[in-house]
Amino acid sequence: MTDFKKHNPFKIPDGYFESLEEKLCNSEDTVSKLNPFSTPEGYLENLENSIHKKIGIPQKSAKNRLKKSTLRYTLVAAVIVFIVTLFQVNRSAEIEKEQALNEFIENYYLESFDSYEMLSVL
Amino acid sequence: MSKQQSIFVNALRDPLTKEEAFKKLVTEYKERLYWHIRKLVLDHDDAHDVVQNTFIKIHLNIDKFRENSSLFTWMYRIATNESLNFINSKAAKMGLLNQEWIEAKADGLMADSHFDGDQAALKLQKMVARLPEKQRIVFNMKYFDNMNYQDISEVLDTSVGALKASYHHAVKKIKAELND
Repeated sequence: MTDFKKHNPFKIPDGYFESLEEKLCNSEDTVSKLNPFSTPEGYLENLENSIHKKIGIPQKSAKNRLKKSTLRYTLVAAVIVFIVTLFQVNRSAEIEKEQALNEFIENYYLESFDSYEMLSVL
Repeated sequence: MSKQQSIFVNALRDPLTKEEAFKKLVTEYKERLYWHIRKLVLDHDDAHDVVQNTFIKIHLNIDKFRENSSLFTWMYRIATNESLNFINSKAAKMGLLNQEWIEAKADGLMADSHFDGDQAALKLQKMVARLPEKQRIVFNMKYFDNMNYQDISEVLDTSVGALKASYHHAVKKIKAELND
């Protein structure tokens, strides 16, 4: 008998004892774990807003969103009007320049074109 | 604490990002905290008051969060303490012990329009209400919320061994009453 080693020859799955108590406690569940409590309709969806309100964090209301989008569109419109106006101002400045140049050229030729030259052309 | 959580906690502390980060926090945890609180105080209106107070406390005290536990555990601890303080103050106002107050709440559950449970669920709630406070909390967290002992240990600042004993006693009492 003394030749026999005293070590335990049986093995158990890894982590068996760690989860044994848990398994024992849960093995005879006789009552459903389903949540018997309920909330008013839409409560959890609105809970966030009520917490934000209580803490003082601004909420993303529809009114705010409307204000923001109106402001965005107004800004875009203002930028477009500004660009168009700028383009037209540039265009009229170019026309004015062109007219001034034409006038200058015409005047120059009229002034420097004397009667002798006119006769030679004819 | 994970690096990701650390970044999020910093965002909660930074005045520039605090608002946005807090919104995310509320979105992520509102339901879990609400249901944890609801199972402790039983009544919806009471749970609503407590969940609001819980988030206010989280908002005000985020700078005091020491980061040696997970953010969720810390919030759960605040929610648990707020629930127990709420029960204390309500019971004291009515001249009752906490246990008496919660038992009275459980007895009135069938008349509560926000209780959908059958007779078995009602019986279980009444039995849970009769448990000593610590056992009641542990039973709720373990049985209904499926939390592991390590997390419960961090929330309640109690050893895992003591929690196992509490849960074991609670289950034993409930089983004995169910068999009667």
